[in-house]
Amino acid sequence: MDTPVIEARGLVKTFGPTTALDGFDLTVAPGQVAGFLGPNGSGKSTAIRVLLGLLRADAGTASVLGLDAWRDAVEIHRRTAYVPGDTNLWPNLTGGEIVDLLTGIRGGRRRRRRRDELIERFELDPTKKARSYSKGNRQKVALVAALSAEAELYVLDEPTSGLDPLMEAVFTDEVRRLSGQGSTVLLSSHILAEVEKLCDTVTIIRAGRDVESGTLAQLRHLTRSAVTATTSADPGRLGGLPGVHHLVHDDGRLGFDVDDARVPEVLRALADLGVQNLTVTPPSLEELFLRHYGDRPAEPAAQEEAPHGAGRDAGAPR
Amino acid sequence: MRTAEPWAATGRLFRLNLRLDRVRILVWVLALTGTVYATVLALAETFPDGEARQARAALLDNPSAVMMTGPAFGAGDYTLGAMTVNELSLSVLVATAIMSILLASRHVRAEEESGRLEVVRALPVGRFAPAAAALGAVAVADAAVGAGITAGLVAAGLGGTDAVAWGLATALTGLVFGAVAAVTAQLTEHARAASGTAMAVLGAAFLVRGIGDVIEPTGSWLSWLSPIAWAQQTRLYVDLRWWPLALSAALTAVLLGTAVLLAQRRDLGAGLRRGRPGPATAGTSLLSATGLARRLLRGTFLGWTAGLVLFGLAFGSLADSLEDSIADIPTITEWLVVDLAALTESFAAATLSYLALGVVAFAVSAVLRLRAEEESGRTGLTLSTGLARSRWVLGWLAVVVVEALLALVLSGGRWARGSP
Repeated sequence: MDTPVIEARGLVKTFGPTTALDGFDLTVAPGQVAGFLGPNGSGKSTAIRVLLGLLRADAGTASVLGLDAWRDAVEIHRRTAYVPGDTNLWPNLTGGEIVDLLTGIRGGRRRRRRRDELIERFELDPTKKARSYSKGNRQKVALVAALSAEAELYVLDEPTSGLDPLMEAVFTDEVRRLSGQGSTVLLSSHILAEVEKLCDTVTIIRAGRDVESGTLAQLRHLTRSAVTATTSADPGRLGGLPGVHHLVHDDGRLGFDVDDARVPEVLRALADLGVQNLTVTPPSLEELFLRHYGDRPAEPAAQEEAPHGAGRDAGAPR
Repeated sequence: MRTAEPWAATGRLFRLNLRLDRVRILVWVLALTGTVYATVLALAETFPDGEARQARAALLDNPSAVMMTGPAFGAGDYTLGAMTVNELSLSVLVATAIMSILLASRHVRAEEESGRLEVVRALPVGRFAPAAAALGAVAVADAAVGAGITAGLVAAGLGGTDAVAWGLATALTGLVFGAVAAVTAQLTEHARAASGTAMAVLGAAFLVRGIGDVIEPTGSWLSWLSPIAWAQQTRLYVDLRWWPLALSAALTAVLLGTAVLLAQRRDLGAGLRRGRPGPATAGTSLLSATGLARRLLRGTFLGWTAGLVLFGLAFGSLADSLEDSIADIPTITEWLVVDLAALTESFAAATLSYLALGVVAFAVSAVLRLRAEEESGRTGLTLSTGLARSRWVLGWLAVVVVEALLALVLSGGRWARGSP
């Protein structure tokens, strides 16, 4: 594999008595769209600020594009575009002026056509003063400024907060285009559907630590698929098979969870039973996420107590 | 660890600051230039000849005059230039200092507090660039004010080297207080607290200079502790000397160095002094329109009242010494009919008018907070609770009225208690 675009090892960052990052690791390979999941207050934004050299970690190392995140921040920023989660703009400048200002400070080739195209796609009125923009429109200004830049790495911190579903679709499109061009994207979010749609890899952060990391396929292997079917035969012996959990059988309708590694054997058994209407649903990211945050006690790996309301919080956007 | 390119994009941000502030700076420059020009003309008309000016000079030793003006240079031969400097320099210096403090804390701290700095710093922008660009803009504003003052003096017929020196002295004094604000901006997380602390430093400088000059009309050792005195000690239009301005330049450099050191020790968005956590539930005193107003205005009210009370106390003790000092100079009564009680009264009147001005300033800024509440959208949230608009506004105004009266009574109390 090539040198990672982002490589963080053992990052620790405390703010007085609060520990925001507590031994955080993150690796993002070139060309990947990396999802970064965690509910409010789990340390996502702190991690991003450390990677951008805006905050200095108390311990650990962070390198971005092969450069030191703190020492070479300026050089990194020349090759990186960033959209913050909560964008505040200069109230007496217009949206168009701010886009030009931000791209102007960045330097590099001016891409007028791209800028105008993005403004049109995001339906942004560039003549309005920023003080009259809603949250969603402020977010669009930051998105247009960042996406119209030619960068090797795009760091997007909850970029769709405040956007309506139509604009989210435009955003999804634009991110696909970036990854199609070979750019690397780090996308922090608590909207699981967005991450599921866009990301090649996912890192789940909890209380300042990465608790799960890998490709979506890898992560799914750690969990179970949900199986439903109808059958007239007695499915009792299914319950004895290794890897089958929560078997329910009611009036010919059959449902259970199965460890992904055991799917082939279970399918053979199902074939013997002569099942119909078979569905096997791979676990959604939400289930992965709830394993770490949710109220549902699932795997032994996730015995830690979830923070209050975190599971509901994280599941809500669905 | 040293960082690469700490100054990258300073020029670009500097131009942005000027763009954001062009109207603000222009208004300050025009106002101060106009004031200088008009004052010179007014003084020339009111005191048309040397005799009239000399009569005015005889009153220069009056402590209230000294507090509100400057060191009495050139009293022996009171020219129009010396008179203008004496009457006007303090106001011009203080106004420029206030402008510098407001501009500096606006660019250094308010940008950071609002989160705009995060957007900017994520661009290829050096670590020190935003602060350097902010102080650059302050320096431009100060230079423009200085040039405006020189121009105003020249236009009014008081040209020459002294006009240039006055402009330079004003610009440098402004820069000193801009640098003070750059330091206080590192200490707190909020722009308002940063500019408030810097204003307190300005207030202290004002008092120290005044009391120092009361001790010795042309400046005692105490005066020299105040940056305001350095500008005045150039003895403009009397016996010009440049070297006191070196003190201003040196202090600016020291303060900026301190600000850079402090900036390196803290995180983006944080102050060196961390905000303490507050209560998780609202007390009953907060649960009404007036309660909210009281709470939101608490800091402003306490700050202004404390400042005004200190001002009142300092001047009150001066009034006491005033009689002694005049009684100590028996000759004065020989050629000037002085009614001691009347003199104290006039001093009291001058002081009270300044105290009242302070209270008015508090009241104006407190009422304007309503506007800020509305612009930020918080008023919408308040009104959505079913609170009537009239009650919200009237409640707020009532709180301002009560607090303004309270500030007036507390700060003027020293005088009401019957100074003779």
